[in-house]
Amino acid sequence: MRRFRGMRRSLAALAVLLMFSAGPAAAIEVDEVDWTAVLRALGVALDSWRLSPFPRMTATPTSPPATSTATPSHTPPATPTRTFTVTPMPTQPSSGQLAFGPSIGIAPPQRLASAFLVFPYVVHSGSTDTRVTLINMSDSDISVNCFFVKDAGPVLGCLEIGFRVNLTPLQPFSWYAGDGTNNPLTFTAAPPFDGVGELKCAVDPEVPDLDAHNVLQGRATVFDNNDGDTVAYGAIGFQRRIPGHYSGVISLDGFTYDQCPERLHFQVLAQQSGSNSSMILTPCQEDLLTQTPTSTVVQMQIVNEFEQVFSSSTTFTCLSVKSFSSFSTLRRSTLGTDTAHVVLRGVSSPLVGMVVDRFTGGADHSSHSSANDPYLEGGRPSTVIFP
Amino acid sequence: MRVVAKKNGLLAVALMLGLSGVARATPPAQRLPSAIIMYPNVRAEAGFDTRVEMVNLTSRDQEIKCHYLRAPICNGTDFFVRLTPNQPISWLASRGTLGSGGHVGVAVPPFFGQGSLKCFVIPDENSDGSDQNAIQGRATVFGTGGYTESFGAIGIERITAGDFSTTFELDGSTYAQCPDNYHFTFIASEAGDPDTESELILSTCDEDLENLISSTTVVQFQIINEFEDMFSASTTVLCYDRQVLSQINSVFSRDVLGTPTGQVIVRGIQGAVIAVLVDKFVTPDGDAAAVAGNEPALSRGRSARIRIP
Repeated sequence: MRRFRGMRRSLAALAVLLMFSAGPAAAIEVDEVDWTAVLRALGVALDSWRLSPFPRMTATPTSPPATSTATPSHTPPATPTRTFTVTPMPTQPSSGQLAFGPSIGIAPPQRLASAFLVFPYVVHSGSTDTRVTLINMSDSDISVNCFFVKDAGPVLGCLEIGFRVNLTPLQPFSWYAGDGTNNPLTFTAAPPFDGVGELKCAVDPEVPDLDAHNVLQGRATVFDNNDGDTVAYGAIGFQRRIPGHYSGVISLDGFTYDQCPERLHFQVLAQQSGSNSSMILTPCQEDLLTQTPTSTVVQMQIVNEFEQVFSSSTTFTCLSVKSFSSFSTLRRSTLGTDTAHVVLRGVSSPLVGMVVDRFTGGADHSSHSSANDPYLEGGRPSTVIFP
Repeated sequence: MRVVAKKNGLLAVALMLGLSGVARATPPAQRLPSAIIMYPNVRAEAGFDTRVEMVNLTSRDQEIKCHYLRAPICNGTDFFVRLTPNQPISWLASRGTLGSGGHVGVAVPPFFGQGSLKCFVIPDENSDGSDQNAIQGRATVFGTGGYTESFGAIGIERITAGDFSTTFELDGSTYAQCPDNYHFTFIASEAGDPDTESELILSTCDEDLENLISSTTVVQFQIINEFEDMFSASTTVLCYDRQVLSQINSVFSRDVLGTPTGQVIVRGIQGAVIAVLVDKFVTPDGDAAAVAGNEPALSRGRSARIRIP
């Protein structure tokens, strides 16, 4: 008896479901639906099932809790909302300490398989070269569309060199920026690069599935051939958030792709004798199709170890590589402490970038360098257009 | 129209059945303000020291409890740090700091040897438990001859608001999970002058410092060369270990791997691990020794538990 009651409930639920799922058009022409036939078909289906489908569906065996815990976080579903995460808004209730408004977007989570990568610092100049590495984190072949971009001055603007890389499942791929690479078997070629610039790479999948987009990660190691001075960093990654075909227009709007970070936070060493770090910045917004260079003002808030706040600003186009000595507020004589917390915000365009720490240390007071990746706060829409 | 209605109904049933699948575990998002930060590598021994950096990314005071874990004895040394809004702080591991220079509420003990450091945000009495994602950090190991290896701390976000507990459930519900798979690109080991010999630093994500129970786990490696040839290897780690790649297995050497670089996927078996790589290579044209920290890409997540006294 209980079983029949359960089946009746199931039938009623399915009938309601059918009514809703038929959509508005069906609701208007409801007279045309042959409900007898529908219910008969469902009855046949349920009879062949022997048991009501609903209990069977909910009784799906759950995996061991240790590994199958549902994490609502950043799963690759189509929806761009990450409701589970506590959105980081560090400076919102700042009581005026930092002269920045509230940040409402969501920063792109890092070190995950991504659809779009930015390497903000690639060098081939003099004895310095860069090893660029890409890895395919999926078990499918992928095609990657990449562009080196460098600042060629006020007349030429931002010059780009495009190329494509094809990666087999889980394949690592690396080359020296100064040499480039060419493999006719895989139709992969990276041209040689000269100067100082950035590299942007986007996944161009064969199918529009979301999982086919978020498959790429990368890393760059900038080294001096003569003295071994090395700066290695992970590319800044942006995940695709909805399925779709790659068009060359990368909308970092928080819906199609992750947003660009609204602010970059660095913990840096103050400039002083033996320590002169560099700040490398590139705009998120970039139109390589019409060769329209992006210029932006960068506002800086600097907090020393005593919680005293300083500010500074600069302007750049395409790419900025500046040593700390060019900012008086980053000198120890001004800051008063050895380290500082620097918060950067692009005004016309959000930014990505990094700091290269340079300091002396060790028993022999030798020179050291290392990459200093930013912490990200908030998000802001931006667009990158590839030719 | 009849056909369309029937199709829509069946589609709805199919959708309902499909949604009952198990959600995938995800790795913790990185470079964001976090409630727990894990420094995978701290070193203060002959010729080496570490600058530990930590920054408060919020406009509130933050109380932070930290634990050094020293290998191979796997004992913890704890201390508290109090950071004012947006305050950065740094210290040399070998010296610690005693709150001089205005760092009220800071007393970091000196650390000797090799190990890791974990720090946890303690919400204050005025907190509703929702603002624990507040800090980030970095550690830079340096030695003679310009030797430098620098790693950002692995951040674990608090996901649901709640009271502070000395047992941290990294289960994807209270806190984000630990990463399960680490994807590194590595440079194959090769004899030379000097050798190209990268090192892997491993520690366990699970930790019971209250009962001093050291976690141990087998770590499996899946290695893929540039021709997509696949190899495997394994090792075991007890709380923290640092191993030269070619000593883990000859498959990491250029002769066996067959290509100058490869991808290695690292995964703990009995429990999740924290892994970073130290690239040590020779520059191609100048034969100079070069060192750099190599941070991985992360995939999938795995639950872990940390208990502190």
